[in-house]
Amino acid sequence: MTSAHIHLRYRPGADVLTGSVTVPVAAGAPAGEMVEVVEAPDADTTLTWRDDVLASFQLVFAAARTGQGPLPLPPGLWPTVDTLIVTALHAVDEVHDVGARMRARAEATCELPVEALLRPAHAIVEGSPHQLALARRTAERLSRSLSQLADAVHTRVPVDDDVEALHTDHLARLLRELSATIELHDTTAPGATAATRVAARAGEALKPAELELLETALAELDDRSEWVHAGEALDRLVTTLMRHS
Amino acid sequence: MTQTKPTDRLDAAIRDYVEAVFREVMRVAARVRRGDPGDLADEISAEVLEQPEPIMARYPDPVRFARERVRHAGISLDRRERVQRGEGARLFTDSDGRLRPGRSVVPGDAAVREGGPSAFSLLADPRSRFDDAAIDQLMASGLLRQCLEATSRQHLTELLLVDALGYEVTEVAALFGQCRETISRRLSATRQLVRAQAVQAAALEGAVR
Repeated sequence: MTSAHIHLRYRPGADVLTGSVTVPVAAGAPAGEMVEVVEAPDADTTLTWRDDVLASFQLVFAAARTGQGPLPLPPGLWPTVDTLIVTALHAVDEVHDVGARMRARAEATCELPVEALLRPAHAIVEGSPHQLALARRTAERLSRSLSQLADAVHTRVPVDDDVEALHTDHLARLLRELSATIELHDTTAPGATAATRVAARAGEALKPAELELLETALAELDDRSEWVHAGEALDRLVTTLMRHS
Repeated sequence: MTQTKPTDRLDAAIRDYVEAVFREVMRVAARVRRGDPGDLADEISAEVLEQPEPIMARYPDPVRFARERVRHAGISLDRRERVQRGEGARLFTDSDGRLRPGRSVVPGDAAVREGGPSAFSLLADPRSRFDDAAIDQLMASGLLRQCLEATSRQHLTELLLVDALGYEVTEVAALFGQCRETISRRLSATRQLVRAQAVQAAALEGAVR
């Protein structure tokens, strides 16, 4: 069984995980052109396959995603990724200088059988031009709703609680980042939704019923087939927030 | 009752902005570039940290700013790497096993920060023809001389030490027996002056052509 060497690099400041895979060339293997495929299942994930073996990957908002379901990586990597992220975040916990936080990076290596890094068989379905245009319009509409929601959340910044003000600001900014990411990449952004979910739970800007509605909308945003419902949920939430502000 | 501290909120806003820029650069660069897109994201986020407020005021949306910036910065990084290869810079094995140049060259269209002012960046591209490169260098030298005429020798020395030779501001302050803030303020003023002159000279150059 051939082992592949995986080099992981995590940047805790921006919460981005990257990795590269080195597969030893078998003796006597025919030298030829390798087929490389770059796959972006969503805005926050990039996977590169070389001859159907994982060659490199990148996950944006990796830490936010680890707490909310499996990462879109081979399961053999999960324990190393978890350890790397937890230790890196702990290491920069007391670092308040933004520049130092952004420069910080943690690295880890591991070995996995090449068989564990094979590309899963799945069909890439290209939509028709009409479907793509429809998806584009839906993305724009969702982006507008998210932007309005960010504005509504910003109206809830308390004037007498600085910690809560920071939480609310952060939530509003993540909503804006999610809005822009969905509009500009025209696809789902499960990392940005996961980070938004974490930020919403951490603060007190939203009442329990509002938080529940937001979580429903975020879950629907992660599935393009549910985008119509996500738009409705977001509009309801904006209306509720504006009414009670 | 505690008061919300504007500085804390501003610091947090800058941090969130820089992080969002970094992430978007990574998203875009991962799809179009070979190698680690973190190099590019590091450059652009450092550039934002150099003067966050003006950038945030001009581009309130960090994701859109990153997309605007990433294309030009990517070209600049590629160009710098080509220059380094062209000059035969020594390569060293990095922690990921890849070979990387051991010294850096001023990027093609770098903003004024560690790398140096844009005027320094008009280095000849090693792939271009020799006569084009020579003309480019002559124009760059003329432009640079014109831009630096308005600055005093002391200010120019400080600028060159920090922006061209890579000295820390604190080191330059110690060298001239000044406090760090004074040198920092002078550097900022000199950079602005040089930049304004460069823009004016470039506009004139464009008008002449």
